[in-house]
Amino acid sequence: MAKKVTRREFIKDSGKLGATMVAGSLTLGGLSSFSLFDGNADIAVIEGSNYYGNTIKALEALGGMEKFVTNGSTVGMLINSDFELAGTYVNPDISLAVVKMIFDAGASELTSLQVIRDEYWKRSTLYDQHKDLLSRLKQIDKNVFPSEFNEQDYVKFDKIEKAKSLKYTEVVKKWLECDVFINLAIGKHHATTILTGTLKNIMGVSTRKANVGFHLDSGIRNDPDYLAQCIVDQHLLRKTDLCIADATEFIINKGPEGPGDLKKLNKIIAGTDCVAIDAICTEFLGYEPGEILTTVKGQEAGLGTMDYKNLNVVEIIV
Amino acid sequence: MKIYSEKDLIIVFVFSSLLGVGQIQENLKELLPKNQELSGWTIRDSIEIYSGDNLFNFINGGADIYLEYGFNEAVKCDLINPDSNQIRCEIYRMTNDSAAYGIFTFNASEKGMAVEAGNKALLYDHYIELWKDVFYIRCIAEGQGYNSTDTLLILAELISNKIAAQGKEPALTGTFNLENTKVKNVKYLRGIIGLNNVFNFGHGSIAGYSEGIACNLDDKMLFTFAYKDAYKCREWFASAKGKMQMNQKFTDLLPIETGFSIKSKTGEYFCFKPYKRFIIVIKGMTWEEAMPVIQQMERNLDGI
Repeated sequence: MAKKVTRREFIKDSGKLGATMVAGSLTLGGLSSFSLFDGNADIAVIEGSNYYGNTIKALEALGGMEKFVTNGSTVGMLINSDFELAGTYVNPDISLAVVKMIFDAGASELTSLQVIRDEYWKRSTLYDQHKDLLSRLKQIDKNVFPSEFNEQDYVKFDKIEKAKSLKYTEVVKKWLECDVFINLAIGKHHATTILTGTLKNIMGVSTRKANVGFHLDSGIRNDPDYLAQCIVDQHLLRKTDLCIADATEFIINKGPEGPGDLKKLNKIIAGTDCVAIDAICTEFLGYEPGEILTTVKGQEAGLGTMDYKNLNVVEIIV
Repeated sequence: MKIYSEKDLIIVFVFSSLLGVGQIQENLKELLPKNQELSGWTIRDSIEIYSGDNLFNFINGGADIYLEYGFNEAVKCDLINPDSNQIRCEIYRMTNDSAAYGIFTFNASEKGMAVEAGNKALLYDHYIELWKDVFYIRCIAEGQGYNSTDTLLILAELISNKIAAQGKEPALTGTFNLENTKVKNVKYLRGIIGLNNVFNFGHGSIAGYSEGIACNLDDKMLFTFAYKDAYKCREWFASAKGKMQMNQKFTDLLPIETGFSIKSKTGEYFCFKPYKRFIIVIKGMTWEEAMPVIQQMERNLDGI
């Protein structure tokens, strides 16, 4: 079974590849199809309607959550959850699977870096089964839209090393203090950046004042170039250890809030390279990675590569 | 007859302006349905009002595009019925009717069904958007078990009827009145964010325009960008030509007459033609194919 899938094969021949994978699963008679993989994928793309199970499979393809979360470690998690309409937030089944895997891996503490409302979790049919687990999840109670700075939860930066545009920001302290940072994004449309993916999601750890500065402080109002550079610059404060992107169902216009036209691909993407994952999401959205300023600037800043054909990308349809 | 001094007039002007601002905010709230005005529906919680850059606290992401078009203030409320179904009503007062028309076209999708409300309205499976005068209005239904489509239509009409003025489409939309041709997906543009969502010519390639318009003609696209004057237009045209030539996505730039054609790496032709204070761009046609369309558009621009 081919494990390395080039960009062209991945995009154009995904149907053929998927068919092969499905056949493999059936042959195994219900066994995890991940016996097919060695757990060394750089990026896993799992397609199917069982979002909870497929999130776990995506992590297995990367080597398991234990590869990222060691026993006793503290974990910070950022989920794009604070939207209400279909295709604008990470499907809660994906988030629940990640929470479970983190605790199963032995994390001593799991903190949501942004407030996650109960209504979000209740959208999952698996909510009741995970109530006890969710009771162990901490969160930064003050980091809720539109968040304001306080000394206890946030830290200010008026200089960021190697930053090109960002001169000032206020970010959640826990983001910088946790041993492991996991970024759960949705690959949806955004009017200004075109893609809201893993890179853009980092605005979830900063206050509203800081984020408005990303939009307005360049001297040119509403400058997409400046916004993209500020987003990338903020990533320089802390490396993301694991990214998971929801491409199961997402809006392709009128983002980020919607309501917009929906595209359903049933895909979940996981890996450590935010830029590569955003590049894949960009193509799902119908654009070229080179058209997305956050992706281009993310690569320039060394956050990853948008040329994901050079990575070990594994796709499976289950 | 009393003669008013210049000072008196200034005081009256300033006072009435201040009064006007207050009235504007009040009027915007008045456009929302009152309790039971839409039978069975009441306002849940309070009405929220946002103005200027405070829009960033109203919209969690996506405020930029409203500001690009020209935004004054917005009001929002949630309506609820006895079955706990909800409808979120949002009314945006834009800086003028063109700005309101623009944000309406920006948000318009081919999945929307044209319905009678305001100047233009589109109904989707669970929401409705409409434009009238300086207002862009959006009502989003949540919950099931009732006919949300009918309720949305009644609600849109109710709000629309409270707006006396009509407003006009920008004159530039007349550019696309082409013989024997029906254009689709018309987008009125005011800046880079709107344009990037329609087509990305490369960062900064098409810039400096005061207003623009884009549409689909089958698998082709037509654009017109308007500049302050012919001189500015020539300056920005030269800038666009230089940037397109440097853009690695494009090749084979060929100057023709006063314009140029260029080919994308995927083999698609683009034609750029300055005309008076306008730049006309056609995507998907060779120069020969584009010329009859460009000439029609030029004739239409003469009327502006």
